[in-house]
Amino acid sequence: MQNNRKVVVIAGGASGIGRTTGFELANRGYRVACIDVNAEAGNQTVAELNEITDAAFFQCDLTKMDMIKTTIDRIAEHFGRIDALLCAAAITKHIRVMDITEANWDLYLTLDLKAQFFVSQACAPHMVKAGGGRIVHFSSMLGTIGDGKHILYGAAKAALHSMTRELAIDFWKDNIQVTAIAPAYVLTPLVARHLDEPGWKEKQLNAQLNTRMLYPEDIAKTIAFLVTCKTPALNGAVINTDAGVLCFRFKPKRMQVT
Amino acid sequence: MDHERKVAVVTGGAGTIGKEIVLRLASDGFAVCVLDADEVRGRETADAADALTKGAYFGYDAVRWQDAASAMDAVYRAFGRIDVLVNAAEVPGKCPAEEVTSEAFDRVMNVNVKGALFAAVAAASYMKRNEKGGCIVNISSIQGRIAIGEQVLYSASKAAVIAMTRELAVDLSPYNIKCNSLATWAVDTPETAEESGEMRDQVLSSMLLDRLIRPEEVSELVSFLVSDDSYCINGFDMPLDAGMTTFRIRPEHSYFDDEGKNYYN
Repeated sequence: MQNNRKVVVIAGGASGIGRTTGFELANRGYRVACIDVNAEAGNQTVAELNEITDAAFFQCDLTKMDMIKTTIDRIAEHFGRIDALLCAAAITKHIRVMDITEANWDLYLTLDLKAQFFVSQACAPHMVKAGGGRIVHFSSMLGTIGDGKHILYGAAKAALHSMTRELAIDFWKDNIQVTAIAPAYVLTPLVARHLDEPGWKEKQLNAQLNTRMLYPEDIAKTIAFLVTCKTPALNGAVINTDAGVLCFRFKPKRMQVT
Repeated sequence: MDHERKVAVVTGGAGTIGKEIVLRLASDGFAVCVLDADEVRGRETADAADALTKGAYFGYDAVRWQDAASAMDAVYRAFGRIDVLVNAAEVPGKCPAEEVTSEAFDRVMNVNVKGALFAAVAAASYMKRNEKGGCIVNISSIQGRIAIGEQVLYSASKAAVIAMTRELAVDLSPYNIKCNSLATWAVDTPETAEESGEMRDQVLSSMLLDRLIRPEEVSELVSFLVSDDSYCINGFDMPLDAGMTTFRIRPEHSYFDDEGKNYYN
């Protein structure tokens, strides 16, 4: 019976939204293969996941494409199948145009775009063997709008939108559905440190519609739906998981938080 | 305890898609109010929901948008609260642009746009009283984004629904009322069978799927959009289009060979 349970691969699953999604899917009956470059955090996450499901950690440097292929094949061998993939690994920091070098161009575009492609490509044959699968790409509102400090991350995410469509089209007869989620402001531990800055939270809330800020759990629940939903008709789309950020330009002053 | 049960209102709840939504929301634990002009099918649907949780029928003809407020008032008086509104009432409007009449224009816009707006505003006035706010889902259409010909009325009405959903999402945001639309395409219903029959081949090759979309797939998405799991989605037009907008000419290749064996073995 055990081996019939579905398996999700989460690249960048040791921390942040990747980690939270692991727990969300574990609670929905999935076994979890956690990929991360950070072995200490990865082993810790997997130890906690093992209290709810079968989970295993696989260390992998996502800048090495041959290592990605080997790791995914090892996962398929370990669990016997791969049904779903979330690639949540990414690198970003504030960087302005005049500070960009060829080296950071290559690093960012490798981790934020190339790795997502090659992880997807490596998982697809195993999904085909399992009769189909689900791939959820991790995008961002920065794939659609800019902010003057994430040119490399934004370029990668915009390219990811095109890649989401292309993979959905290429795999349609193989019953693999590919979607992307595009979050905006999420209170991950890394972001939450800004809460101490005066006016920061108000500015964030005025840029979104929901009255409370989003937590990793909110994004993880939507990813879990995209992975587990029965319909194959939700395909090729970028889903804005942004608390409304992209749907409006400004709101009346009376609605603003001060 | 029944007044503790969340209450969902579905306009057009007696139609094929509307009925699936009603039954799904009832299975999810909502008390469901069926608002429809068709009393026979409306009562049937409400009875089916009642067998699952609680269901009730309220007479409401979406073409008479003026009645939206009194219909929501009747729901509130009977159930004591409104948490969810799904605007599924709609009329088709296939007609070449040159033949559109003012009467046809008004009929499509009155039901699809005006009816949905006034139902939303009326329902929201009760959702504002809830501690946790509420949730509105408008059934739009992928035709609000892309043309298929001879559909100027229907497509324009659905584009209006999509824009209206964004504006409602802003205006109702202070009250924790979330508004999204669901852009459907090629849903298999008797209502659309005749209209889409002659272009069945075109419809089928427009999707990354080898069949039409089923009403229960629409209700699966509605169920998600009204649940806490979609808290992060707001002001969004969710496409349930089987990839229809992602390409123009579909490739027929596959990673399986003709024997059904995949190339990777």
